[in-house]
Amino acid sequence: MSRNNTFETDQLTDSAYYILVSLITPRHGYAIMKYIEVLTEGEVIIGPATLYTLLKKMQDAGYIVLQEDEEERRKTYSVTDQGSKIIIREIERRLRMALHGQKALRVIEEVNGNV
Amino acid sequence: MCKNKTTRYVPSLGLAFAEKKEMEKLSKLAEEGWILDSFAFLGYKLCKRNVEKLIYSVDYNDPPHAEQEEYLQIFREGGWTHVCSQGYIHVFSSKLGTQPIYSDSNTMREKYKRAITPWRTSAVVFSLIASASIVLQLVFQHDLLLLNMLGGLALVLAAPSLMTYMGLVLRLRQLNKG
Repeated sequence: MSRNNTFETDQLTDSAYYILVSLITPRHGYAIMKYIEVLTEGEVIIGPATLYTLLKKMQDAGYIVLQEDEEERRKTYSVTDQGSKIIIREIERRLRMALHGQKALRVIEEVNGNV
Repeated sequence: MCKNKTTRYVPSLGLAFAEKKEMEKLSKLAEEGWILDSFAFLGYKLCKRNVEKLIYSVDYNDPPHAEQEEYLQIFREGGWTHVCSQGYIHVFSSKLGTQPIYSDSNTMREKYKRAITPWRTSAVVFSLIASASIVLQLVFQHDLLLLNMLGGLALVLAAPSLMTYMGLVLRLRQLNKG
């Protein structure tokens, strides 16, 4: 079985973005799905096959690690230093993108307001 | 395990060609009380149980041995019950209305990409053996039984490998378009 071990670019897909955001605090599989659903008020729901595929891929890329959690009695995922750098950069990039969109929205509002 | 005389076999046309159709057929049969139990030779084994409204999904994935439990647990927690596996092929069932196992197109494409490689390898290997045996026969100018048998066997194995490979390539192409 072949696997794409690396992300083609450092830009994350939306699903990978949300998973990495959720792992700033260590979480296990189900907690990741639940956190994203609650955070986005049900707008983003990650399916289990998508979650497993991306967890595997991000482990291979060195963004996250799987660790034994004695309290939880099951394995949890958490971001590595590299993963942390990637996600902070990605959050900032997406924030800038949202601001660009907001500017454009203002232009639309101004145009509509002047009619 | 099914109870006495409550087993039924349903042939498979090949998941690579008719994945959606086959999963829908299994759902229909579940509504009649025939619940998927396991894979059988070139098909599925069903058991007569209570009538259920179920949806089925198949994943192609090959988690390392140590991660198999983690893999199945993530599906369980996402509302999907593991039914059966054969190699890298895993079938899950769930109640109507459960979120699909793949929630984005990128990872869904990767599912088919993962499955393509082994089929491509076996198609190439068997085709090479078959052609090599034909070439050798032509060079030596007479029939060698052993070479004949080897070539025939390779040809018999190359055909389904090539078809499965083509089926998966077409599926991937559809996904890329859609």
